[in-house]
Amino acid sequence: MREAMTIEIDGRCVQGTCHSGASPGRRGVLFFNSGAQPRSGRGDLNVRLADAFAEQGYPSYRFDLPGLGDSEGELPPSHFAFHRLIIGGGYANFGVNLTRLLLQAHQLEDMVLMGICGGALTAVYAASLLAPAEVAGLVLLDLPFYLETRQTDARAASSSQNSLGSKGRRAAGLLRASVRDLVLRQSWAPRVITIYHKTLNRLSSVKAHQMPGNTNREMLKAVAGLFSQHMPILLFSAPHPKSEPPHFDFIDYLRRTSNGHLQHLEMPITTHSFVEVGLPELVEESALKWLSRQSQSGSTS
Amino acid sequence: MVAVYKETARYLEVASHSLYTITFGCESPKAKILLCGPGPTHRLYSLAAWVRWARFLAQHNCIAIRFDYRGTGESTGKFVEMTFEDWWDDILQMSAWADAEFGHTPLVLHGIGMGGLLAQKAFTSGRGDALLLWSPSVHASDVLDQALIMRLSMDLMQLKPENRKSAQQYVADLKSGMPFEAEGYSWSYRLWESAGAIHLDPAFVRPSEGAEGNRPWRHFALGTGLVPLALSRKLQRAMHPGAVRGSDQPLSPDFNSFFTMNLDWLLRILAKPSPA
Repeated sequence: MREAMTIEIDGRCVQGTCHSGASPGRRGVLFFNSGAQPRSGRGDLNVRLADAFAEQGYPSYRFDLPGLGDSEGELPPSHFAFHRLIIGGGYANFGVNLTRLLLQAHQLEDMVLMGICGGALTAVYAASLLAPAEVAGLVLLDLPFYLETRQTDARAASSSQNSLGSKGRRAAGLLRASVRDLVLRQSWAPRVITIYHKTLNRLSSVKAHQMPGNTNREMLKAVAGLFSQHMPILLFSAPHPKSEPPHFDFIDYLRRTSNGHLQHLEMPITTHSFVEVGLPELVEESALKWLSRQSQSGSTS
Repeated sequence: MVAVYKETARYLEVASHSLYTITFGCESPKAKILLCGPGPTHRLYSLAAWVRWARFLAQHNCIAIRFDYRGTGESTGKFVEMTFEDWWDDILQMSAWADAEFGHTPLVLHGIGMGGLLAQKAFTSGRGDALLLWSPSVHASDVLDQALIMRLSMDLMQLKPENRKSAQQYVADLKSGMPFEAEGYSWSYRLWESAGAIHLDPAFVRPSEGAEGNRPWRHFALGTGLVPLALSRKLQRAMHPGAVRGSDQPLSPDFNSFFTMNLDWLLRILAKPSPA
């Protein structure tokens, strides 16, 4: 059964949906918005998952963060600024207030916090501010590990303003293309290009063992804090695109530092949204198994 | 614990489903505006802006009612079982509810994209005292075409050439009862078939205004400056599930001048003798 909920947090009207089953337990699941999407998520995935969890006795809640979907509130001016806000934990306090409000109003013992991408970040930051007894665990899908770079922002800003910077980049691009055409016409080109690509791959492999400079270390610190509190985390990830160079294995890093509190599931072919054919069913089934194990091993639902 | 606001969310029972609705109320309404939203994939990008418009209307003495079609968003039902007739019926049911709930205040049917097309059909069948369209879909099949294009582009990203299907193959599969998945929704042959008969009436196709009897209507075209209210291929590509970083487009643009233009038209037509 679904119930429309309207509540006030920090002076703003926030809209949400409560899913409950025939025999609701006392452990809830709270979803956070993915990026700037409404609380239903792409393909209404969050609705589907919340219905499934509620049927199994976990009252589930989806609220639009301030400014998103149906909720009141202001948003940063650009997507990049919004991503930086989420990456830096800008919605963490809201997440804390919402969690506590729901725990009290619905007389729940604790809450599992859940989200995809930006929603996963908000879940991590909120959990790190809540008391351990308030959070039963986290279900995170495609947790992002990187910061938004200034370079991306500057490029976006200058390209939209047709500035000297964007003209310079266009000129540089034309020069690169001319040099590339000149090299390709040389007889030694194939051998040199092969050596060039092998060198690049070797460098990427070396770099892949080092945590990159744009790692979101604050977020990793928050996760480490949760592991130290024995917080169970279920982490789904999409496969790393083969077309991209090797990267630092953050999943392995988390596994090594989790003291056994991390369960990681890499999904088969899927994108960042987890709505490709068969994936919603797989996420639903895996998450329910994990929820059931947590209920059996610790505080019960 | 639940405070009472002018923004009231509730579920309404319609044809064995529960439609999610929010009423943005006001004290002395001049009209009630039924907001017939876009198709589900467009909703993903445009909902926040659509809701800001609803708040704008409520701040200017117009009750705004937004809802999710059955099988989509917050409403119950399975998307794969839906047809365009179901969604058209949702508009008819919501119109009837609005009239019953808010009495003889004039009802304006207002639609964007797919919602515009269906709102126009409801208007022409006699519902509503006025019609406001924002870039209505001309054919219901346009909604399916967009979904099919998203499917084909995802296949290009994810599948080897020998495993990819053509558009014709997907349609043939549909006819044999196999839905295709795009943007997380299962698009069925029932939906495909139901689209065939639904087109915008010729008079409403171009941005213009007119009247059916003493019931006025207006069609505004949404330009690229009105993204994400306008459906933008660029935004869709940037927000594609494979593109993690997002768009360099503004997140929450100021549409107040466009909103004001529409409000001015509404107030102008409402100032005329009531058609009811």
